[in-house]
Amino acid sequence: MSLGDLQNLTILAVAQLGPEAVARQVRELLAQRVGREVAVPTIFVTLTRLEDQGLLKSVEGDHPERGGRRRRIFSVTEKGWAAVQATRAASERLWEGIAPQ
Amino acid sequence: MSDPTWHRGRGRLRRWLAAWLPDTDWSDEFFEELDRDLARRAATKPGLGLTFWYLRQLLSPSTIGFVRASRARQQARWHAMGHARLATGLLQDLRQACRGLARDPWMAVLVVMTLAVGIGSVAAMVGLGQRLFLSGPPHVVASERVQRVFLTFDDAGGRRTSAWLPFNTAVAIRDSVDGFDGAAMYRRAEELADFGGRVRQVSMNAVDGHYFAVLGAQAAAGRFIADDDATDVLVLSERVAVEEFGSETAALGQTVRLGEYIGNVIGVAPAGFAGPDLDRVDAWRPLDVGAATGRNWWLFGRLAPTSETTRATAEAQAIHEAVDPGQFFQWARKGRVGMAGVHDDPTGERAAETSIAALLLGVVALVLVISWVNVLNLLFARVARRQGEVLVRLALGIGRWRLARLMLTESLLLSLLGGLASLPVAYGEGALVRNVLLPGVAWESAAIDTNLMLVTFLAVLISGVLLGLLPARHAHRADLSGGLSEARQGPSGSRARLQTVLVTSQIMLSAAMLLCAGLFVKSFWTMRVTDLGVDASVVHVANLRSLDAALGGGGDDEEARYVQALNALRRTQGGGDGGREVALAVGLPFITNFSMSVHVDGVEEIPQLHGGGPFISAVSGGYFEVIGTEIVRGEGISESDVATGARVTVIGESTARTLWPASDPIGQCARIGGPEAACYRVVGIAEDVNRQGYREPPSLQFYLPIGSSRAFRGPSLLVRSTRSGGAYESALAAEISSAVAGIDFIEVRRLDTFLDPEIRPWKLGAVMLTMVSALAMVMSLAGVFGVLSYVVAQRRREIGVRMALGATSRSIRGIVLRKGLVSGLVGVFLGFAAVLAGSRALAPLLFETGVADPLVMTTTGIGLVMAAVLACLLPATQAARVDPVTSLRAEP
Repeated sequence: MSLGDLQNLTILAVAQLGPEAVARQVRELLAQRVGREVAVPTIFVTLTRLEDQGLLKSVEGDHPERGGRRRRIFSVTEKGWAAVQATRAASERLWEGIAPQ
Repeated sequence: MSDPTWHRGRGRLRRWLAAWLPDTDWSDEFFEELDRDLARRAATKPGLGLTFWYLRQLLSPSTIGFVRASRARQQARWHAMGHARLATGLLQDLRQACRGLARDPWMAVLVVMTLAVGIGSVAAMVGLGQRLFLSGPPHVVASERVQRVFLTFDDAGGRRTSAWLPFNTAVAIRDSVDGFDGAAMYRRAEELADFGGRVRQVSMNAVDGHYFAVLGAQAAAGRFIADDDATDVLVLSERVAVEEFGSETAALGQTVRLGEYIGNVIGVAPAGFAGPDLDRVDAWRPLDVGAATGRNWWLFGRLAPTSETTRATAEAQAIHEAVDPGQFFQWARKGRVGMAGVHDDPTGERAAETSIAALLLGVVALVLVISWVNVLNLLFARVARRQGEVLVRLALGIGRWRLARLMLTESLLLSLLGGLASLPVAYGEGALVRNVLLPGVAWESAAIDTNLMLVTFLAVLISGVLLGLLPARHAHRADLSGGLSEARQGPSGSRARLQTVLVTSQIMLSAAMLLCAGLFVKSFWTMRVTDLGVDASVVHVANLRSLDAALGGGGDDEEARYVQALNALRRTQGGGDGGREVALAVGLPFITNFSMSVHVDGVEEIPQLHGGGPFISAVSGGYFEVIGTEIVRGEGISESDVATGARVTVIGESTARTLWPASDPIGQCARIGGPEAACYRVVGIAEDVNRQGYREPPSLQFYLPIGSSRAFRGPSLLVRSTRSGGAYESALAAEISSAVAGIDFIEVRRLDTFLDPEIRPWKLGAVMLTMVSALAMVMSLAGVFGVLSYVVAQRRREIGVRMALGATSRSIRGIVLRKGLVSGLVGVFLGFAAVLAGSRALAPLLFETGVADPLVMTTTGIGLVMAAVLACLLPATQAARVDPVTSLRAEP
């Protein structure tokens, strides 16, 4: 399975955030670390699609930030790990032999 | 953020999204994020005017992507859930439908109200019509084969009919007509009944042994009277049995006294059974052959399977001609035998109630048509209004089937609400008609016919469903991008025309109904103000009944009681009932008419008047003042005339003109009772009095002092008072019974209530038509209002352009008003034309009122047009208030 750029980044962000991986944090992380501004609906769509594809899974959890308000907390599935690793491996294979400019 | 535009825009945006977005498990979270994000953006761009439209543009297309994804996700989940899917889907459809309705609450209320009135009225009226003329008398088997036998007389006054047959004639026809499978005779009477000490007045039928068998009715408990029954049996109605003995079976075997008759209850009739008649019957007893020969009887027969009415009538006519009716019944010889079904009046004529019920049924069918048209109209407006919404939904990826289901759910919800709301309408109307307008009719079932209600409901449901599918069907053909912008432009030409036609036809129908209602009200009013020659509305008639008298305990005792009561009431005059006057009379207008032959010396045979007679009343002193009949010349009957037994008489005006056309009637001699009878000297002339009812030609009328002839027995006590009502009647009865001993039951009734049966059809027509047509009117006006406000909403942009180009509010208001008024005027004109075209059918139902009555026409016409203007006013004002800047900017 090949991942799109945003999908790849989203899975990695979820992995990075661990138990904090709610939609807002994912979006903010992408903005801070990668400098990528993603529209609110886009991040929701992406998370939803990744979950549908079985690359992410989610549980309803209490978010400490918001007085116990229920949020959806994502985590990466086996299949998700395999997918990002495959993407990374593909990328690295292509990088091999390219001299740094 | 304090910018109000931002707040409004944000709220609208949220509602807009909520309408499209399925309730996914995290749509709330989505909204929250969206909100936060938008607030952040808004903060960075102050003063930009963050309207709904701007915010919406910010969202697309990624928002639409999210909505699509959520929907797909949900559908996948439903799929996985299998059967649970349908239920969840339906629940969600229902929620969406509620949301859809709530977005347009007035439209929903109008549709529901319209359906309620339409379905409710039809259910109530058909229930009524069914009892009056469709289903025949309850518990009578194959009632269309049961025929009443009556006599018709053609004389100078036209045709009249009599349901009364002399005993000999009735028995001969009953026993010898081969065209009948069986026939039975009976008569009705009001009797005092003694249920073990509780005395009440009951409506009693004396019947022969064939009565129940010919009708084919089955007893609810015990058995009915049969041919070989002895004369000590009795059948009670279910109502009386339950009221007096607690239950049907408890009544069996009880001894009940009915007037002079004492019987054991052998059976109880099923609820609502009234024999072949409409009016309630409380008890049935076998006829007493000994006393029967001297009386008149009603007769009905069941046609043999191979027989026709004409054959049976011819046979009966032959028998009638061959039989001697007996000494006192020679009048019957002039009549011819006629027959008619039991749905008709006992006189063989179609009961006025039946005709009016038929008319009402027609009217109610019109109401249903109007309500259907109204719903159609409102839903049409809705279809057009929702075209944009449908397209947005399609753009967001809703499936066609799901869209259709959504629309369907909405229509079903509307119809269901309408059906529910129609229940109180049906019960209310049904109960009103039954209890207030037709109190005497024996009702068998509940106030509404549930089967019928179901059928009507289904019909409306189906039409609602078809209409609900229209927007979905339309969406199939819609071009998404073109449709979205077109949806805001307004209805296409053909649809707008259709709407105008629908509104106009609604107004036409309700104008026709309203005109009919007006004519009935005028008839009713004309009847009420008809000069009857007596003041029927201020005179109470009291009848003092005692069981002893009924047993034949002496008429003298009975008369003595009346005199006692008269004197007692005269003594206490003014005691809390100022200006009360009392009198006695035998032979009262509308109640009892006594007739005797009258002879005038020198005249071979006195001429007959169309109104019949001679009618003779025996009255006490003060009678004319009490009953309100004016003495035109001479004097009335005085107390001293009564005391001395003077042979004097007062005659009617027409009587005076007929008997003594050339000379002064005062002082002339009339021999009342025949050529050999004593001479009564005419001392006064009174105005003519109606003897039978409202419509009546003049008759011969004589008044004698009470007690001057032994022939006149059974007086009534007359009380003239400005007070009336149930409380007054009970107080009067109590006063009489405390003053006079030996009375078991006192019946007090206002004189005009004896006319109620005659006035009832017009009252029914006036009240029901007015009510129903007012409802229809309100519905039509709601239709006008709904369509116009919709048109205004649709043409907002056009109006904005017009105003931007210099149109004033006044001219804009004029455009809308004109549109409504033209529909109104054309509708009223067509409606009136329809009524005039149907005047042949309508005219016989009216009382001294022409179909083209100018007063009624002008009043209803002006009223209708004014109402139409009112209905246009609000939409017109809305249109005039359109702000061109907003309307042009809001719609891209």
